[in-house]
Amino acid sequence: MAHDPTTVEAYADAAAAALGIPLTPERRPGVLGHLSAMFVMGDRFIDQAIDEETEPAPVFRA
Amino acid sequence: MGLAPDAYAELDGVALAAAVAAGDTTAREVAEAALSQIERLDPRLNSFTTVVAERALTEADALDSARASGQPLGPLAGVPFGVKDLFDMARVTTVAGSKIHAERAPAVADAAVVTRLHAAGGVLTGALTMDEYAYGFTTENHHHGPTHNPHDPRRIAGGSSGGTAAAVAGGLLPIAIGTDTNGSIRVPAALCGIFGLKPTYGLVSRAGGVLFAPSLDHVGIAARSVRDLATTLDAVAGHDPADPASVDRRLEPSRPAVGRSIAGLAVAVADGWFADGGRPEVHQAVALVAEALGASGTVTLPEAERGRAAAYVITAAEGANQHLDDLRRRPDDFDPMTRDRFLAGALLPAALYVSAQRYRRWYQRLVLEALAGVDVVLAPTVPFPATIIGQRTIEIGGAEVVVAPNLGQYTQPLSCIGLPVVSVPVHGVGPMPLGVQLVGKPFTEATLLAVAAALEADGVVSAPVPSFG
Repeated sequence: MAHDPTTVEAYADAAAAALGIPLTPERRPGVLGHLSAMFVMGDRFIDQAIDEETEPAPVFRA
Repeated sequence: MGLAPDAYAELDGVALAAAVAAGDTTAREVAEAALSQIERLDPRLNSFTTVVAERALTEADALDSARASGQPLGPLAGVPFGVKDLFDMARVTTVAGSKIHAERAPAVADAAVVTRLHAAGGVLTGALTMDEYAYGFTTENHHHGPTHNPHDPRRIAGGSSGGTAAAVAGGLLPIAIGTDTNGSIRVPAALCGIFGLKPTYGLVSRAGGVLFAPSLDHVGIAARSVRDLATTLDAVAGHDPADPASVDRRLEPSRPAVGRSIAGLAVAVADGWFADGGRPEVHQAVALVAEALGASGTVTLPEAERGRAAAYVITAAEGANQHLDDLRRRPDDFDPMTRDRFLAGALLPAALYVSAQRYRRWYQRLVLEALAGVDVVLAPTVPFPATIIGQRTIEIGGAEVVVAPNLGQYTQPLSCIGLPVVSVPVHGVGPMPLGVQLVGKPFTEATLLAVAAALEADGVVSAPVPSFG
């Protein structure tokens, strides 16, 4: 999946605002670059068909 | 009597402990030699953030008194060790390579791994440099300066446990403790030409340590001999309810495996992802080790590239969450080398993170199936040797690649699923040392150490202390 830089930027602005994370102009290019790289990494596995019984790997124990 | 620093630097931990136990030297003399080495050489390496000289001498004197009164000594009696500066040392602030944690109060107790090494007779000497919050592979820390490689101080030591590896490689310490989330003990061990062990996930307690990406974090060990790795592992492994990831199971001791015959073991070379990329010499190093072991077959560890991608996403999300409050309130106080990655990780959607964790389970099953019938898999540790400090890219196969993230190319897919790995040092295939990973199924550390010891006995792998002073 190709990630439109404008979409990534809009997402980052919305998420940063929602989480209260300051995204200043000087940090913006670096953060967007890393976030785009993370989306590209996610593309490599997110479409993999995995059976419903496959849970994440929790360490929480009650 | 006295122990000359050069003589100290030539001995491994087991030899030092034997000398103390036999009365050939004292724990105080060993501690003084270690402190002398640190004082003389660390200004050139920058491997320590804190030296606890008074504590080291006090612990050494207690050991000498114990010996004089006939009390039994531990397997590491009098052996100096250091810990990555994310493990708590009582009465010292745990800095974790950061400016932010440097403002915190001193730790009230030792981390579990420090307590266990102390119980085995180890003598704590101090805290070792690292990338900020362990998020890096080079230990070019903005707050503390870069750590230098003892084999060529112009070059990086690797990271994030850079001080751990440099102190051991430089002869300042025989053993040291680090962590490995994506390769942070194996990468610096390879670049500094020493042995590195990343045990199975959950085997060694992380309690009392500053976590980086908790579902991936392992404690790691660096040493200049295989028997030191094994002895240290036996001292620190074991269940700890204070660490939620700690496993509760009976373990085969590792030390007796050193020197054990490795005849009949099935050893194969990893192909695919692990045979691609990287400088030619890293694959020559693998071939050298394979030939020594008579390993002619190959095995495919499937999905390595996507497994690495999952580790990348999990690391970013969990790492950022560990520091979310500081990222919101005071991002300027982070190291510029980590800040933008942490901020980006904080913004990752939950869909990607949870998918990565589910993918990881699926990927683990595939790899364990591939390992059926194989005892040890050989793979490069790093794709290229130590680069010059400040160097940002390197040419591989005609392409310029970024140094820092690509140092984990061959380590990330393995730690992602918690497999045990010993990185063995190979010297002579190029001007700088390299590493080869011995990879096994979960909880087969003893087998991996037996193979590493056989290679060491044959002179195929070794960890000589360079002359850099």
